[in-house]
Amino acid sequence: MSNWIQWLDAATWSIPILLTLSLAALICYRKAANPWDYYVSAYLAIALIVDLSSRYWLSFHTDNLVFVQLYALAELMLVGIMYMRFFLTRLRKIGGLLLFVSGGFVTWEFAHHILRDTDQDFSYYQSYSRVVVSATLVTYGLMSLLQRVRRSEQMDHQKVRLIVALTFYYSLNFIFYLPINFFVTAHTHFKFLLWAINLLVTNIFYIYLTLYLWRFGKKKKPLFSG
Amino acid sequence: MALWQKEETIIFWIIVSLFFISAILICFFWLFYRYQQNMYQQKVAHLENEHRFKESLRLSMLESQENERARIAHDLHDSLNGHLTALQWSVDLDVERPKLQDKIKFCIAEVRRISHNLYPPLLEDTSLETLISHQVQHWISRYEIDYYIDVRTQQSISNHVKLHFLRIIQELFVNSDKHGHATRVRLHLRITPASLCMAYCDNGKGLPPGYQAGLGIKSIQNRMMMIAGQYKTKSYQGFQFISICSDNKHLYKQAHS
Repeated sequence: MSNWIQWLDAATWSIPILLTLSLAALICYRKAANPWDYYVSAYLAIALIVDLSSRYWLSFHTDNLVFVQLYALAELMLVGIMYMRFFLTRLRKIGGLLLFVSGGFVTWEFAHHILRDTDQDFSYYQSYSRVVVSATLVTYGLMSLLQRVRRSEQMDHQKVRLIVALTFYYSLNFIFYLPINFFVTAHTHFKFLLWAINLLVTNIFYIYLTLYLWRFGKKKKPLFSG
Repeated sequence: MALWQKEETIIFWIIVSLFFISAILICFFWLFYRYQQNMYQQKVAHLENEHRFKESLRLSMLESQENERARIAHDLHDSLNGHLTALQWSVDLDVERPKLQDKIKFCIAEVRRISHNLYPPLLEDTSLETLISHQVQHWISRYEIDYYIDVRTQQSISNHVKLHFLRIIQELFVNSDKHGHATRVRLHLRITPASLCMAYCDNGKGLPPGYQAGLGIKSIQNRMMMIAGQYKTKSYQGFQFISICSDNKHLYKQAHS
């Protein structure tokens, strides 16, 4: 069984490898056609930086749980602002308030983790930062989809695909990060199966984002028949 | 005892998860319902537009039929009727035989011209390229015509497609003269086993901005619809018309039969 866990640990390197290859390919061969493409590219870059930093951090410290809140804050800022700027056409004030409240909660939890949690006992470690951020981003996604469906004009399928992918991913993230204490402290092999599923979902999500940028990143030529 | 082992924590997580999943499901069902509603409304609007378009085409077809009848009546009255009356007077006045014969020959030529305009002779046996070549010959004195044809199949085109294409080309030539005041025309035709493509361009005035389709263009639209073809008009340094007929069921005789 421990052999299986070692394999899983090695498999986590698939994320930085995938992100590096994706970003290299996107930088070399594709130009962003839509303004929100820059945000998606920045999201992939931040994911890579946080992944590598957390691994580096672990070589000097016993845990890298501080990156849970850091990454949640970065996700909220980047994806939340992308929603506010490009996808939410109405109810922006409510969206802004939601962003502020979520950001405040994550910052408070981050400060609490840095200042108070000095002991190494993880039995009571529970961070709701990613849960709150996921709920906020899922709410944004559903609001954007509803606003698009309500309008009678034709939907922009590029936007809708991205919103649906983000909503789906953050819904799973919400479910996964809610019982984070179980994943950190439980002495059972079942949690590793769940980690493996999370790894698979994350990989699929990053591949989807890369293909999204690759496919729509360059404006199509007009057809002969118009 | 870790946090996750406590009963209240587990209950809290379960309640939050259930609430979240329920909210997501309700939202998705609502979205799906609104999407279906929107799709239905768009479909209804599309059908209404299509119905209005077909109605306008039907009206314009009736109008063009009346115009065509008026033109034939004018042709018969002004030309043939006048010549036959003159022939009758010549007979009454005992004009000599060769002059009478000339008048009769002229009347026969007029009848031929009118009947050819009504329906091309030997449509069944004449190829589309030959029919179009005759039409081009008819207009060569009016325009500088760049006519190019590329035939890549031996299959015979069905009669109704031939007739509609011929009428479309006639209409385009007339429009270039009447509305565009063009001096040069380019007509390219490509016939392949899969499709029949035609590109027509002139150097005339082109279509004015906000142009509303007149009787001629509506007649072309109607004909393109009847042969299940697609077309596109563009006004850029003149008038351009591109049509594609790729429905094999209608295009060729063998397939049609």
